[in-house]
Amino acid sequence: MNEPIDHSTTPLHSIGHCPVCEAGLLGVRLCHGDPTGRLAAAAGLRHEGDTRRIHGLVICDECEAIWRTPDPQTPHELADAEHAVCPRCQTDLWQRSHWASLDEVSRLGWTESIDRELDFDPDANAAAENDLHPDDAPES
Amino acid sequence: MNRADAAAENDGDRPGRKRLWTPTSVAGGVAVAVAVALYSWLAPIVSQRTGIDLPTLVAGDDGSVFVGEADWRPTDPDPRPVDSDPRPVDSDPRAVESGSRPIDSDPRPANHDSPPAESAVDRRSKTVADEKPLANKSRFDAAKAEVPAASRSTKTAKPADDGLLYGRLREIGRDRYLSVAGVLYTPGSAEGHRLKHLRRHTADQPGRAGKHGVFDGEMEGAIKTVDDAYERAKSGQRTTVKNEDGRTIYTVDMGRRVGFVGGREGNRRRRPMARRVRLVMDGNRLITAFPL
Repeated sequence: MNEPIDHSTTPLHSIGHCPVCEAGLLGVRLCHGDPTGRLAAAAGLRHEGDTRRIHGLVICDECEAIWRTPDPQTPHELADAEHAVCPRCQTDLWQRSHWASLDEVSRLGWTESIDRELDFDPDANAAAENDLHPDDAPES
Repeated sequence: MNRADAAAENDGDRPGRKRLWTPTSVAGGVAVAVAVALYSWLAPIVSQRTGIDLPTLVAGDDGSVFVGEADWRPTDPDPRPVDSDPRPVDSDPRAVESGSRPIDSDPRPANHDSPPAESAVDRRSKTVADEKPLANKSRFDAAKAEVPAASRSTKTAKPADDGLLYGRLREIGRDRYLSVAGVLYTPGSAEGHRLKHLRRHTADQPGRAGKHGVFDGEMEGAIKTVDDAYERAKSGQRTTVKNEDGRTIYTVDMGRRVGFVGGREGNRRRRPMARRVRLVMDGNRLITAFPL
């Protein structure tokens, strides 16, 4: 039986495919930042600038490799498997960030980096939810 | 015929002699009655204090007394099969089995603006509460009490298959599940738990760009295939391995259909069959797995 597809876990806008796992999408994710600014300071990350403000990350939606800039040629980082934090502001990666909308990508100044061919198409998913999974199709 | 006569007739050792109620036999009967009464009174108390299941004495319809089954209910609030051996995660998981309930049975989409999702224990409680009464009532209470798994008793274990999540996952801690093959599923990922992430790969996402591998057999099938792939990967059977900063990426040729390739690209190609599995692991922790 088909279950509702969780749209919120699929990147809305991506810059490419992941060079690490060779399958995931490199989605643009907006981190809300740490309003206190203390977490990055406690971690000795003073060079990260103002981590209290929102900032962008590029994250593979499969293997969770992280880039701080929209350039997958630069070195990536891997978050902790169970307690992932933003490498910049050290807040909880998954609770304090979300896949960026087109407007948010624009606010980050990363519009030129995204590949519109890789945009998520919610209509196609919605249509699929009304169809039968191939394994569920009645045998003829 | 009175009772003594009947007894005498059945007394084959002493034909012709009448059986008499002697003081000794009366005293013995009284002693047995007192012992039975004492046992009936003390057994529940001893069971409750020591946790030892003492057999109960059951009165038959004819007034006879016999030993019945141990009554576990007063002594163990949690009849779920849980292994009391808190062995390390990396130990051989084939030897251990335990009870658990689905933590990802709630199909509601995650919402970043919504309050934090209820805990697995809460959800387990709800699920168990919907089950049959009596024995599961204790499970419900135990789930609320959050009794550490290692401290639970094994003496009331049910058949192994009854207690394993998706037939293969044993709960080894809060929100932590170890598969038969030794794959560890923990909290993490954008979905909140690796099992929820794996669930993504049990249904197609035609709106997702590129490929999206979909396992056959829903969650049970996915977890079984991941286990099979992990065992093949560990033995190096038709597997390529790539190490990436502490993560290991296995690509395993399963030699059979394990799912299909969906996503926008897969659907353009009419969902080709997938025979390989890619596993991204952090030690034995699963990060993601999908068919190729």
